[in-house]
Amino acid sequence: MKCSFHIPEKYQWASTLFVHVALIAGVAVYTVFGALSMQWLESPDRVRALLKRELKPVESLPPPPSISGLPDRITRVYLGEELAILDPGVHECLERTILTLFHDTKCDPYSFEHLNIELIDRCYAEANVPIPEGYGGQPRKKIKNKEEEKDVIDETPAEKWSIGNSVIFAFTVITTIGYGHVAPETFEGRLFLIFYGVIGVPFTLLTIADLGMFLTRFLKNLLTMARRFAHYLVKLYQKAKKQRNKSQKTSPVMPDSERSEVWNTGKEMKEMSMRTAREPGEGDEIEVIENGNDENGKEEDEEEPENNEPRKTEESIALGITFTCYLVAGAKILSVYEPEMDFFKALYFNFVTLTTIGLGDFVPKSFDYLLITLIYIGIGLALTTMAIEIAADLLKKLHYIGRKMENVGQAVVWFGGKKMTMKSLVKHLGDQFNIPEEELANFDMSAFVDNAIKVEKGEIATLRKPPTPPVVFRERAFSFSNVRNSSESALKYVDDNRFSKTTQPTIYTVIIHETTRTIDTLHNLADAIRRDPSIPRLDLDVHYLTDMSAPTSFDENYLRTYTNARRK
Amino acid sequence: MPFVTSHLPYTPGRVGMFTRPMHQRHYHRREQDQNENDITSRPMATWKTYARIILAHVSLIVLSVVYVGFGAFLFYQLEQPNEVEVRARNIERFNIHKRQMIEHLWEMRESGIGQHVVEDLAVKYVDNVTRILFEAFDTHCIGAKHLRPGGEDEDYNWTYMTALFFTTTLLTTIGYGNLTPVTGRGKLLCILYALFGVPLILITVADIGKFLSENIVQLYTWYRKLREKCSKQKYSVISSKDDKNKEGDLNLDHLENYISIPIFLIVAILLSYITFGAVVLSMWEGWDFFSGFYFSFITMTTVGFGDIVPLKREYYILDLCYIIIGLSITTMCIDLVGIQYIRKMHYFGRAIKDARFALVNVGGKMVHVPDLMRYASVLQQKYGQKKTHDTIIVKGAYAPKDLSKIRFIDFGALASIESWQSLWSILTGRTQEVHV
Repeated sequence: MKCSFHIPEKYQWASTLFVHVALIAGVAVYTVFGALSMQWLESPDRVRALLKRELKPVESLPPPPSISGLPDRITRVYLGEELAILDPGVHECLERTILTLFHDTKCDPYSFEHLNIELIDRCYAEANVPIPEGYGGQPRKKIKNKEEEKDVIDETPAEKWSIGNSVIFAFTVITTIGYGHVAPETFEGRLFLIFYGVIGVPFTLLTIADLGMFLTRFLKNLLTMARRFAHYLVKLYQKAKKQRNKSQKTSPVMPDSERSEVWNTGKEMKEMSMRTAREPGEGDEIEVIENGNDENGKEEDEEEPENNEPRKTEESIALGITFTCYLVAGAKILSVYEPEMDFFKALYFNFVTLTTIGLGDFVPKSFDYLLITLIYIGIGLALTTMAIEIAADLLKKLHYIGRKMENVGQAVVWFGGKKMTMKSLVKHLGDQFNIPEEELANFDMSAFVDNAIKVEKGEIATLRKPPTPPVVFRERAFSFSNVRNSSESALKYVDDNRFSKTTQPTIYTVIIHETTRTIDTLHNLADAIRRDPSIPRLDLDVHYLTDMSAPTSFDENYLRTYTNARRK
Repeated sequence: MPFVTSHLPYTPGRVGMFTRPMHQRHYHRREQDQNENDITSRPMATWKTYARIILAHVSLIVLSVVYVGFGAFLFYQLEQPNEVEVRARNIERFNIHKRQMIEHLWEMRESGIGQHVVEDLAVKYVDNVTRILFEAFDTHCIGAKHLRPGGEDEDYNWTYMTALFFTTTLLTTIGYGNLTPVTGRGKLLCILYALFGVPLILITVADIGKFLSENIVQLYTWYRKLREKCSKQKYSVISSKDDKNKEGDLNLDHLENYISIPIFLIVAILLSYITFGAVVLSMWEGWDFFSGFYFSFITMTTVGFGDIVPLKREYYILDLCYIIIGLSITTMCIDLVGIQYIRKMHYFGRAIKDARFALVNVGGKMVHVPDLMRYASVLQQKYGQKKTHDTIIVKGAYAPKDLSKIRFIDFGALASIESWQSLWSILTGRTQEVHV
């Protein structure tokens, strides 16, 4: 699925944004869908039906002693003194009811018990109304023993799967946080959860990783800006130094120029590589790539001299600082609007949540700020994903320690979203540089990679071979004696003056050998000519013949000597 | 005619000279190849190579195990005293209120107060004691068994084994939440401990997952080869051309196999492992099959609700082994399938801009693509088309650059009268025969 190449450059960026925004919106819709489904599946009617089903087998079997079931409704029990303090009306109501009971029943035990229960319950029911208002402050101040203990929260079965709890539940499932403050109890609920998780967890992790890559890019931009600023400061410092030391101007200039030349060559090679990576027929992308090249070219000048490892160290340090600031800031914000959390507890909650541990001892309570909390968690998980990627690089190094490289040619190179094997990449590079195919076929990939790694480490200067010095011919006239002198052969020639006097026997032997070899070749040529009459005669070059007809090393004296020797 | 005779002996020398250096080049290559073979075939100690490979991984696993064990010890030391104190305090409070209730009721009965007043007071006392009891239960430190006489010291939550279970599920980010640190120092330790421990455990689990994925790739390739051999045996009648074509196809298939494994196989592995775990856990813990499956799923995806948690403490070690292997399998699935889709989605509809920063992961060593280009330029200089802008000006006749390598006949020999006559006779005789 690719965008059509007819889309102009303006809308291409919009299409990419649309994809990512669609992913995030998909996660949100999926969360709401899951929340509503679980709310319906775990509704109180179903839970009661389940309890009725479960009650029957429990009756048949004796209950195990380890079970300690808590009731669905947790109630706070107050002493009479406490109720009188909270609501004085209860006391008066009870007095009136007791007096009326005495008068009406006249101490009849049956009617007394019956009437007493109804009227007294009515008084207590009326008294319950103001309790939530005064719950927070008053009982804690007056009942000193209870300050250290936890607050008991009143929850009815209807409120267990409220909208807030359902949304938190669905979100923590697909992000694998999993507080467990509410969990499905019915078979249908659990079955739905399994399918919901199978589809939702990969989808959400994909979206969060996608968001993490954007954050990575943003972080890199910040790093480059910081590095440029530092570089600018260093330049200012150097200028101040130069003004102080004017005598040392010329010496540092030369290596800089050489380095700049190397960088320029690097640029050209990279531009050529970009062309090789281009696919044929994608005319619209060419302009985009060129723009990218320009941007990359600018960045190259500043980043090229630095090694890879310090850069990664800087990125990891920046990521650590960002994560820490994110945790602390989030803790402060949460402690403002969450009732149960102070700063430390909020920090603890954030850490447990963003690492997807999700113990569930603290759970967000306020429904009004739920959206802010969920967005905070999503972005935090993206930061965690970035950290996991850095850990993944470390993992690969650990995994391959002490291991020999295998299948180097089949290693996959990721150019953004597209991949290519190294073998095909090198082949395309060779085609670009017009390297003969035989050499590419015999090219040893693993040795190349080893050498490249050594160059990176600094063990070898370069893989570039020293250039052979060019052969410079003299301007004076061409002569065979000069050619003979420059040749590498050990053969000695007759007309060389330095050899003619001292080593005559050797010369004779060589001459005879050459003559016999020449005669043999002539015989072979004659036979060939006789066999195939169709061979045309050789065309004669006039210039060539003129040169050949005037040998400069002809010596009559030597000729006479040779003839006499032959006759003897 | 003498011009012809002078021209003929020149050409065979040239031809001979051209062939020799090519032959020498080939010979040099063969020598180089032999040297490389000798270097690679040196008998290195086998135990050294294996030790070098395994040592890093084993040390990583050992470090993880030690870290988990030490953390369990720390949490046990911090949280267990708190639990003892809380339990003792609550039990004492319960007993005190119970005793007060009984004494007060007996006093009121002896003093002759009315029965109704006594009953009301008794109800109040019972409600108060009940409230204290439920508050004690809410601390999760007290159960029903602990209130029996003599049962105060039974089954503490924080034993070393339960602490070990807690630390493992903490660092693997499962986080059931059945046990949580209550003290402030426990929570602070939890943050620092997980900050360093979570990456360590994730790296270890991913390392194991990497091994699993590699083994599955190898097994799958062997399976493919076996299947293709069977298919070959069935159709052995096919001619040689078809065989050649199939060989090409096999190479392509091999490359494809290396890149992608079908998702169905991976999902099948995952589901089979979860099912196996469900069966085993239901045997150990007394759950039904679906509860075991549900627990396995919640654990493998590291959701970790904690609504269902293994309770038999003698099986905790086995539970932890199952969990770690399951997480490795999950990591393996993500490693084989997930990463590709993540990259494709992220760079959807986008041109290639980061080719400069593309890293080649070759045997764990990261090589930048620019290094490839540098080496390619070296190849160009050596074998590519050379553009020589400099023209060499030579006075006189044309002279090729490799003229110095050409050896030619000395004119002194040709000048000899006898050799000249013999050549003339040979050529003239041959040509006459041709004419006849």
